[in-house]
Amino acid sequence: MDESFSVAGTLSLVDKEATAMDEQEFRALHDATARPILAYLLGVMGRRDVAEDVLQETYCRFLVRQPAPMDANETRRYLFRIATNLLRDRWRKGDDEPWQEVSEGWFSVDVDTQMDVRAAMRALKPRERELLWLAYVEGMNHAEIAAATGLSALSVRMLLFRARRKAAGLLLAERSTR
Amino acid sequence: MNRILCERESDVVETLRRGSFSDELRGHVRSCSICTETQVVAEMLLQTASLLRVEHEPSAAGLVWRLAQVRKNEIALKRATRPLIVMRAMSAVYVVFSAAWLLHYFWRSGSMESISGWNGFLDETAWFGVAIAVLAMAIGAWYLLRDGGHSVEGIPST
Repeated sequence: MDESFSVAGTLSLVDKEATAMDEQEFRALHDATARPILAYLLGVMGRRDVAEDVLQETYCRFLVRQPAPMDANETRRYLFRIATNLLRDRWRKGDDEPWQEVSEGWFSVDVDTQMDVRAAMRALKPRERELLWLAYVEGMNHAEIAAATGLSALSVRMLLFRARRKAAGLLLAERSTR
Repeated sequence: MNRILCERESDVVETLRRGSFSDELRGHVRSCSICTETQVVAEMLLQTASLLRVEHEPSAAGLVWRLAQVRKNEIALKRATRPLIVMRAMSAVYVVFSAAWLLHYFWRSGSMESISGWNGFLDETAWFGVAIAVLAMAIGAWYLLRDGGHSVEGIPST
């Protein structure tokens, strides 16, 4: 489950020098980070077409900007930050309705779990889904989430608390009605 | 007062992400409402994430690399043609000023008779030459930029 070790291995090459990344290096970075970022975008958006667009744009921006060399974890957080900003830009422009639909095969665990997750995800706001995902799936601390989302660490703490309470309330309520 | 944080919350998340609960941590989760909520939500999200990572394949790295290279080239080309755009703007300003100066000159010389008679105009012949030169520069700059614009459009989009 933990991919940061493989990322650390494959991304040490990013630290080489301040020059642009070559294709081989980029492939290593992409292989190590694309799946978690795509899962994040799908988890927050619920739409594969949008998630794929945003994922491609995330890497394009990363390559065009050529940021200063950073370690594997920083690179990963930087990519999450770009992806989060792109999502927010789309919502501001009104390009997407978050969680309009859920693609097939999404929640193929069992029917009860499916219902729980659908209900919880639909009821949460996009920002709440973002925060919960970054905290619990990516294991980011409040300062790292603040850097990725552009919020202050204090706001992250409060918003995360509310989001967690809301999500837990929804999940526990669904379970108790079964 | 309701607590909003528990110092063991990060332990719960890390345990869910990486390993199994110790008896001590399991006991704590049972007695702590914050950690209970954290466990319920984090389990749901981690389960969802692992499914999504398996079921959805991202675009190929090579495709993304090529897209980024095309984008880089477009940006480089735009940067390279920026001085020409400035030149075009300056040329336009020169042309407008020259035209204004010429009109002003003819107006002051009395009437359009001065054009037919060329009276007094010889003194200004040098200025007129300058105006023509500027006009030629403007046309040249426009032509160059038009050519540059076609080159940008000629880059394939994928």
